[in-house]
Amino acid sequence: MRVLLLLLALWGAAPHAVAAQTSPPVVEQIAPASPLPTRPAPPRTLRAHWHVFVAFALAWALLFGYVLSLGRRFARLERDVQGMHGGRSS
Amino acid sequence: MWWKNEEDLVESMTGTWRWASGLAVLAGLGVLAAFWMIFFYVPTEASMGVVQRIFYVHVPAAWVAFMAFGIVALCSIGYLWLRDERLDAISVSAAELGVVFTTIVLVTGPLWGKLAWGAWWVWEPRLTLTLLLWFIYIGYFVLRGATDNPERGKRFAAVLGVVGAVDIPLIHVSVNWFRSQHPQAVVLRPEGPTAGPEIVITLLVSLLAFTLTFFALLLLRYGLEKLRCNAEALRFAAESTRHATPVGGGVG
Repeated sequence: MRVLLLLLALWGAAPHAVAAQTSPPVVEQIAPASPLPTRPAPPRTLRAHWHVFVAFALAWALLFGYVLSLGRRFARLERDVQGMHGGRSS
Repeated sequence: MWWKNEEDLVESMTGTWRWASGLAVLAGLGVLAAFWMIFFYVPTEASMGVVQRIFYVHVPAAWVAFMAFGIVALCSIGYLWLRDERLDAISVSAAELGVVFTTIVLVTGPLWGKLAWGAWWVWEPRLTLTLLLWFIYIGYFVLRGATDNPERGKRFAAVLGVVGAVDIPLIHVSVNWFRSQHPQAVVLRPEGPTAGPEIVITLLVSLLAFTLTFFALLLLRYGLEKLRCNAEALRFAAESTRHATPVGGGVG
């Protein structure tokens, strides 16, 4: 009788055990197949803001510097051309 | 010379100024819109944080630099074929602006890299090829002035302008062809942009602002080149008169 009860218990428990083996815990289901590379936290420091400020400032300083250099070259050329016109008329 | 007489030159210069002024106003509005979007509209990127905002200057500057060197290559081919001085003037103007915008790329990149990679500079393919591009177009100006014969200098520089442009597609594909540390493209991808819509819109506005700024400056620089050629022609004429030799046309 005890053997019969043991067999019945094992027969009833077997599908649950198999089910428990085939369906892994929820945590394992959402775990990635390969470990993700560890990413450093986004730099939200004052240094990051400083780098952004310097990048924008340098970019616009370069452009304004170029515009100023164009203006200076224009002025010099105009002076040269006027000088040559003056030389020709005199 | 590209103009028949002084009146023709003045008329041509007036047209150039008018276009340059119009484009400068549009560029100014574009830059204001881009600044507002960069600092107030677009959200801070999740993985890189606030330093990612450098991207909105770095990428448009790179785009404009590549466009400038593309214009140099096309106009250089035209100059070598047709010997039209206007094409050479556009080439030299675009090359100068290309160097300015590549300098912006080379300055802003390390400011991002120091925080993202922990190093100001990494000798990886895209960075190295971009630095090479900068040196090629510095060489373009050195070559122009290296010969006593200006015509020959222009021809040599035009050849370098065409050959140097080969570096541009190499820079573009370097992140896919080689083991590159540089981030992959997030907008110009065959399968569509991977960045969020706010990031894409802000980048497009910034691209437009930089492009308008480039064309406004290109027109101003082209006008300067016209004036320079006028001054050269006048100087040549004055020297010819002084030496009592017949005037045989200006230096283009």
